[in-house]
Amino acid sequence: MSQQAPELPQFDRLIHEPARLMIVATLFPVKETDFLFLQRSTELTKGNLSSHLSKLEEAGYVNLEKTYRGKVPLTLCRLTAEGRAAFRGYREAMKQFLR
Amino acid sequence: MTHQDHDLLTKVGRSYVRHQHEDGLDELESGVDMAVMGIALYIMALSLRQQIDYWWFTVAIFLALAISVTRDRVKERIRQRVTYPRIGYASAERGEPLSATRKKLMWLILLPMAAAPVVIAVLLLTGRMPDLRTAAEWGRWAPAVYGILAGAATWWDAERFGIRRFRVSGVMTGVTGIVASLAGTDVVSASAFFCMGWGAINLTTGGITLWRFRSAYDSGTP
Repeated sequence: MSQQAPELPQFDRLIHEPARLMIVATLFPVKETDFLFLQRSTELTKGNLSSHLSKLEEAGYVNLEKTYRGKVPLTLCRLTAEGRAAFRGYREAMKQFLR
Repeated sequence: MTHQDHDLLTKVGRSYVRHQHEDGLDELESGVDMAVMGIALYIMALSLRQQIDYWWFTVAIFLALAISVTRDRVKERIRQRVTYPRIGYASAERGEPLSATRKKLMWLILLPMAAAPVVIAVLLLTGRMPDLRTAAEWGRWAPAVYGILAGAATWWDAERFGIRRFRVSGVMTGVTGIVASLAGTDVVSASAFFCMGWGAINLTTGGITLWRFRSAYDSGTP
Protein backbone atom coordinates (compact mmCIF):
# COMPACT_ATOMS: atom_id res chain seq x y z
CA MET A 1 0.00 0.00 0.00
CA SER A 2 1.62 3.20 -1.09
CA GLN A 3 0.89 6.52 0.58
CA GLN A 4 1.60 9.58 -1.52
CA ALA A 5 3.50 12.33 0.33
CA PRO A 6 1.75 15.71 0.39
CA GLU A 7 3.11 18.15 -2.16
CA LEU A 8 5.11 20.92 -0.52
CA PRO A 9 4.83 24.45 -1.89
CA GLN A 10 7.89 26.04 -3.43
CA PHE A 11 9.35 28.41 -0.88
CA ASP A 12 11.72 31.17 -1.94
CA ARG A 13 14.79 29.91 -0.08
CA LEU A 14 16.44 33.30 -0.14
CA ILE A 15 13.62 34.78 1.94
CA HIS A 16 12.97 31.61 3.94
CA GLU A 17 16.21 32.11 5.91
CA PRO A 18 15.10 33.71 9.28
CA ALA A 19 17.47 36.69 9.26
CA ARG A 20 16.66 37.61 5.67
CA LEU A 21 12.93 37.07 6.32
CA MET A 22 13.20 39.57 9.19
CA ILE A 23 15.02 42.08 6.95
CA VAL A 24 12.45 41.78 4.14
CA ALA A 25 9.52 41.93 6.61
CA THR A 26 11.05 45.07 8.16
CA LEU A 27 11.46 46.73 4.77
CA PHE A 28 8.01 45.68 3.51
CA PRO A 29 5.82 48.27 5.34
CA VAL A 30 8.24 51.17 4.82
CA LYS A 31 9.46 53.17 1.83
CA GLU A 32 13.12 53.20 2.85
CA THR A 33 15.30 52.88 5.94
CA ASP A 34 18.91 53.42 6.85
CA PHE A 35 21.30 50.73 8.06
CA LEU A 36 20.96 51.72 11.73
CA PHE A 37 17.17 51.32 11.75
CA LEU A 38 17.47 47.88 10.14
CA GLN A 39 20.14 46.85 12.61
CA ARG A 40 17.99 47.89 15.60
CA SER A 41 14.84 46.26 14.19
CA THR A 42 16.41 42.94 13.25
CA GLU A 43 18.91 42.81 16.16
CA LEU A 44 21.58 41.49 13.78
CA THR A 45 25.24 42.42 14.01
CA LYS A 46 26.65 44.87 11.46
CA GLY A 47 28.56 42.14 9.63
CA ASN A 48 25.64 39.76 9.56
CA LEU A 49 23.21 42.40 8.35
CA SER A 50 25.65 43.60 5.72
CA SER A 51 26.18 40.07 4.42
CA HIS A 52 22.44 39.30 4.22
CA LEU A 53 21.73 42.64 2.54
CA SER A 54 24.37 41.89 -0.08
CA LYS A 55 22.69 38.57 -0.88
CA LEU A 56 19.31 40.24 -1.15
CA GLU A 57 20.80 42.95 -3.36
CA GLU A 58 22.41 40.36 -5.65
CA ALA A 59 19.02 38.71 -6.05
CA GLY A 60 17.50 42.09 -6.95
CA TYR A 61 15.20 42.11 -3.92
CA VAL A 62 16.81 45.07 -2.21
CA ASN A 63 18.19 48.33 -3.49
CA LEU A 64 21.09 49.81 -1.50
CA GLU A 65 22.04 53.43 -1.99
CA LYS A 66 25.26 54.78 -0.53
CA THR A 67 24.92 58.48 0.21
CA TYR A 68 25.73 61.11 2.84
CA ARG A 69 23.73 62.92 5.50
CA GLY A 70 25.81 66.03 5.89
CA LYS A 71 29.31 64.57 6.21
CA VAL A 72 28.18 61.24 7.66
CA PRO A 73 28.02 58.23 5.29
CA LEU A 74 24.54 56.79 4.98
CA THR A 75 23.25 53.54 3.49
CA LEU A 76 19.61 53.67 2.40
CA CYS A 77 17.82 50.34 1.96
CA ARG A 78 14.66 49.81 -0.09
CA LEU A 79 12.71 46.77 -1.13
CA THR A 80 12.46 46.60 -4.94
CA ALA A 81 9.23 45.74 -6.76
CA GLU A 82 10.71 42.26 -7.28
CA GLY A 83 11.45 41.97 -3.56
CA ARG A 84 7.91 43.00 -2.65
CA ALA A 85 6.47 40.46 -5.09
CA ALA A 86 8.77 37.77 -3.67
CA PHE A 87 7.67 38.51 -0.10
CA ARG A 88 4.00 38.44 -1.10
CA GLY A 89 4.63 35.13 -2.89
CA TYR A 90 6.39 33.75 0.18
CA ARG A 91 3.45 34.69 2.40
CA GLU A 92 1.04 33.02 -0.01
CA ALA A 93 3.16 29.85 -0.13
CA MET A 94 3.32 29.74 3.67
CA LYS A 95 -0.43 30.26 3.84
CA GLN A 96 -1.01 27.32 1.46
CA PHE A 97 1.40 25.14 3.40
CA LEU A 98 -0.20 25.72 6.80
CA ARG A 99 -3.79 25.56 5.57
CA MET B 1 -2.44 35.14 6.24
CA THR B 2 -1.12 32.66 8.79
CA HIS B 3 -0.66 33.32 12.49
CA GLN B 4 3.11 33.08 12.03
CA ASP B 5 3.13 35.65 9.22
CA HIS B 6 0.62 37.85 10.96
CA ASP B 7 2.64 37.89 14.18
CA LEU B 8 5.86 38.73 12.34
CA LEU B 9 4.32 41.47 10.22
CA THR B 10 2.39 42.88 13.16
CA LYS B 11 5.51 42.92 15.31
CA VAL B 12 7.56 44.57 12.59
CA GLY B 13 4.82 47.09 11.75
CA ARG B 14 4.39 48.04 15.39
CA SER B 15 8.12 48.44 15.86
CA TYR B 16 8.05 50.98 13.03
CA VAL B 17 5.21 52.94 14.67
CA ARG B 18 7.04 52.84 18.02
CA HIS B 19 10.14 54.11 16.24
CA GLN B 20 8.13 57.04 14.85
CA HIS B 21 6.98 57.99 18.36
CA GLU B 22 10.23 57.33 20.18
CA ASP B 23 11.47 60.94 20.05
CA GLY B 24 8.16 62.64 21.00
CA LEU B 25 8.39 65.06 18.05
CA ASP B 26 5.02 64.03 16.59
CA GLU B 27 3.37 64.90 19.91
CA LEU B 28 5.20 68.22 20.06
CA GLU B 29 4.01 68.96 16.51
CA SER B 30 0.36 68.20 17.28
CA GLY B 31 0.74 70.06 20.60
CA VAL B 32 1.81 73.22 18.76
CA ASP B 33 -1.06 72.79 16.26
CA MET B 34 -3.67 72.38 18.98
CA ALA B 35 -2.30 75.19 21.14
CA VAL B 36 -2.32 77.64 18.20
CA MET B 37 -5.82 76.53 17.24
CA GLY B 38 -6.91 77.01 20.87
CA ILE B 39 -5.42 80.52 20.98
CA ALA B 40 -7.15 81.39 17.67
CA LEU B 41 -10.47 80.15 19.05
CA TYR B 42 -9.98 82.05 22.31
CA ILE B 43 -9.27 85.26 20.38
CA MET B 44 -12.41 84.56 18.38
CA ALA B 45 -14.43 84.07 21.58
CA LEU B 46 -13.14 87.41 22.92
CA SER B 47 -13.87 89.22 19.66
CA LEU B 48 -17.39 87.76 19.56
CA ARG B 49 -17.93 89.30 23.00
CA GLN B 50 -16.38 92.50 21.58
CA GLN B 51 -13.65 92.47 24.22
CA ILE B 52 -10.89 92.77 21.58
CA ASP B 53 -10.73 93.90 17.95
CA TYR B 54 -11.73 91.30 15.35
CA TRP B 55 -8.50 91.63 13.34
CA TRP B 56 -6.63 89.78 16.10
CA PHE B 57 -8.43 86.67 14.92
CA THR B 58 -7.05 87.21 11.40
CA VAL B 59 -3.54 87.53 12.89
CA ALA B 60 -4.03 84.21 14.73
CA ILE B 61 -5.21 82.49 11.54
CA PHE B 62 -2.13 83.77 9.64
CA LEU B 63 0.09 82.57 12.50
CA ALA B 64 -1.55 79.12 12.34
CA LEU B 65 -1.03 79.00 8.56
CA ALA B 66 2.62 80.06 8.87
CA ILE B 67 3.22 77.32 11.45
CA SER B 68 1.47 74.69 9.33
CA VAL B 69 3.66 75.60 6.33
CA THR B 70 6.98 75.47 8.21
CA ARG B 71 6.44 72.79 10.87
CA ASP B 72 7.28 69.76 8.69
CA ARG B 73 10.62 71.27 7.65
CA VAL B 74 11.47 72.17 11.25
CA LYS B 75 10.53 68.68 12.48
CA GLU B 76 12.60 67.04 9.75
CA ARG B 77 15.63 69.20 10.61
CA ILE B 78 15.36 68.27 14.29
CA ARG B 79 15.00 64.61 13.35
CA GLN B 80 18.11 64.80 11.17
CA ARG B 81 20.12 66.26 14.06
CA VAL B 82 18.62 64.38 17.01
CA THR B 83 16.67 61.27 16.00
CA TYR B 84 18.27 59.65 12.97
CA PRO B 85 21.85 59.57 14.32
CA ARG B 86 20.54 57.83 17.46
CA ILE B 87 17.93 55.31 16.31
CA GLY B 88 18.09 55.40 12.53
CA TYR B 89 15.81 56.59 9.78
CA ALA B 90 12.70 55.00 8.30
CA SER B 91 10.26 56.57 5.90
CA ALA B 92 6.65 55.41 5.64
CA GLU B 93 5.39 53.80 2.46
CA ARG B 94 2.76 55.92 0.68
CA GLY B 95 -0.74 54.74 1.51
CA GLU B 96 0.67 52.62 4.30
CA PRO B 97 -2.18 50.55 5.74
CA LEU B 98 -0.85 50.67 9.30
CA SER B 99 -1.93 54.21 10.07
CA ALA B 100 -4.92 54.51 7.72
CA THR B 101 -7.53 53.96 10.45
CA ARG B 102 -5.78 56.37 12.77
CA LYS B 103 -5.60 59.05 10.08
CA LYS B 104 -9.30 58.66 9.28
CA LEU B 105 -10.16 58.99 12.97
CA MET B 106 -7.99 62.09 13.29
CA TRP B 107 -9.65 63.69 10.26
CA LEU B 108 -13.06 62.82 11.72
CA ILE B 109 -12.13 64.67 14.90
CA LEU B 110 -10.10 67.56 13.53
CA LEU B 111 -12.04 68.48 10.38
CA PRO B 112 -15.23 69.72 12.12
CA MET B 113 -13.05 71.55 14.67
CA ALA B 114 -11.07 73.28 11.92
CA ALA B 115 -14.20 74.04 9.89
CA ALA B 116 -16.23 75.49 12.79
CA PRO B 117 -14.37 78.83 13.12
CA VAL B 118 -14.36 79.31 9.33
CA VAL B 119 -18.12 78.69 9.11
CA ILE B 120 -18.79 81.05 12.04
CA ALA B 121 -16.49 83.72 10.54
CA VAL B 122 -18.29 83.49 7.16
CA LEU B 123 -21.68 83.73 8.90
CA LEU B 124 -20.51 86.76 10.87
CA LEU B 125 -18.99 88.52 7.87
CA THR B 126 -22.04 87.94 5.67
CA GLY B 127 -24.38 89.00 8.47
CA ARG B 128 -26.24 85.68 8.39
CA MET B 129 -25.43 84.63 11.92
CA PRO B 130 -28.64 83.05 13.24
CA ASP B 131 -29.67 83.05 16.86
CA LEU B 132 -27.57 80.19 18.06
CA ARG B 133 -28.17 80.47 21.77
CA THR B 134 -29.84 77.06 22.04
CA ALA B 135 -27.37 75.44 19.64
CA ALA B 136 -24.46 77.04 21.48
CA GLU B 137 -25.75 75.60 24.74
CA TRP B 138 -25.55 72.12 23.25
CA GLY B 139 -22.40 72.90 21.28
CA ARG B 140 -20.66 73.62 24.56
CA TRP B 141 -20.56 69.84 25.09
CA ALA B 142 -18.78 69.17 21.79
CA PRO B 143 -15.30 69.31 23.42
CA ALA B 144 -16.39 66.65 25.92
CA VAL B 145 -17.43 64.36 23.05
CA TYR B 146 -14.23 65.11 21.08
CA GLY B 147 -12.11 64.67 24.19
CA ILE B 148 -13.58 61.28 25.04
CA LEU B 149 -13.29 60.08 21.41
CA ALA B 150 -9.72 61.34 21.01
CA GLY B 151 -8.78 59.98 24.43
CA ALA B 152 -10.20 56.56 23.55
CA ALA B 153 -8.29 56.57 20.23
CA THR B 154 -5.07 57.48 22.05
CA TRP B 155 -5.63 54.71 24.61
CA TRP B 156 -6.27 52.27 21.75
CA ASP B 157 -2.93 53.27 20.20
CA ALA B 158 -1.25 52.74 23.58
CA GLU B 159 -2.55 49.16 23.67
CA ARG B 160 -1.84 48.38 20.01
CA PHE B 161 1.69 49.75 19.85
CA GLY B 162 2.77 49.31 23.46
CA ILE B 163 3.39 53.04 24.00
CA ARG B 164 2.47 53.35 27.68
CA ARG B 165 2.55 57.15 27.92
CA PHE B 166 -0.40 57.28 25.50
CA ARG B 167 -2.59 55.79 28.25
CA VAL B 168 -1.87 58.82 30.43
CA SER B 169 -2.38 61.32 27.60
CA GLY B 170 -5.56 59.47 26.54
CA VAL B 171 -7.11 59.79 30.00
CA MET B 172 -5.96 63.41 30.31
CA THR B 173 -7.44 64.27 26.89
CA GLY B 174 -10.83 62.86 27.91
CA VAL B 175 -10.75 64.72 31.24
CA THR B 176 -9.67 67.94 29.48
CA GLY B 177 -12.63 67.70 27.11
CA ILE B 178 -15.10 67.34 29.99
CA VAL B 179 -13.46 70.16 32.02
CA ALA B 180 -13.41 72.45 28.95
CA SER B 181 -17.13 71.84 28.37
CA LEU B 182 -17.88 72.66 31.99
CA ALA B 183 -15.63 75.75 32.02
CA GLY B 184 -16.68 77.21 28.66
CA THR B 185 -19.70 79.48 28.46
CA ASP B 186 -20.27 78.78 24.75
CA VAL B 187 -19.06 76.42 21.99
CA VAL B 188 -16.20 78.69 20.89
CA SER B 189 -14.72 79.29 24.36
CA ALA B 190 -15.22 75.63 25.38
CA SER B 191 -13.44 74.50 22.17
CA ALA B 192 -10.67 77.03 22.83
CA PHE B 193 -10.09 75.66 26.35
CA PHE B 194 -10.12 72.10 25.03
CA CYS B 195 -7.64 72.82 22.20
CA MET B 196 -5.29 74.67 24.55
CA GLY B 197 -5.54 71.88 27.13
CA TRP B 198 -5.01 69.15 24.54
CA GLY B 199 -2.09 71.09 23.11
CA ALA B 200 -0.58 71.48 26.57
CA ILE B 201 -0.88 67.70 27.20
CA ASN B 202 0.87 66.90 23.92
CA LEU B 203 3.55 69.54 24.45
CA THR B 204 4.24 68.16 27.94
CA THR B 205 4.37 64.46 27.00
CA GLY B 206 6.29 65.24 23.79
CA GLY B 207 8.76 67.48 25.62
CA ILE B 208 9.42 64.93 28.37
CA THR B 209 9.78 62.15 25.78
CA LEU B 210 12.25 64.19 23.71
CA TRP B 211 14.27 65.07 26.82
CA ARG B 212 14.37 61.43 27.95
CA PHE B 213 15.17 60.29 24.40
CA ARG B 214 18.19 62.60 24.23
CA SER B 215 19.39 61.38 27.63
CA ALA B 216 18.84 57.69 26.83
CA TYR B 217 20.80 57.55 23.58
CA ASP B 218 24.36 58.49 22.94
CA SER B 219 24.49 61.20 20.27
CA GLY B 220 27.69 59.66 18.94
CA THR B 221 25.89 56.52 17.80
CA PRO B 222 26.79 56.02 14.12
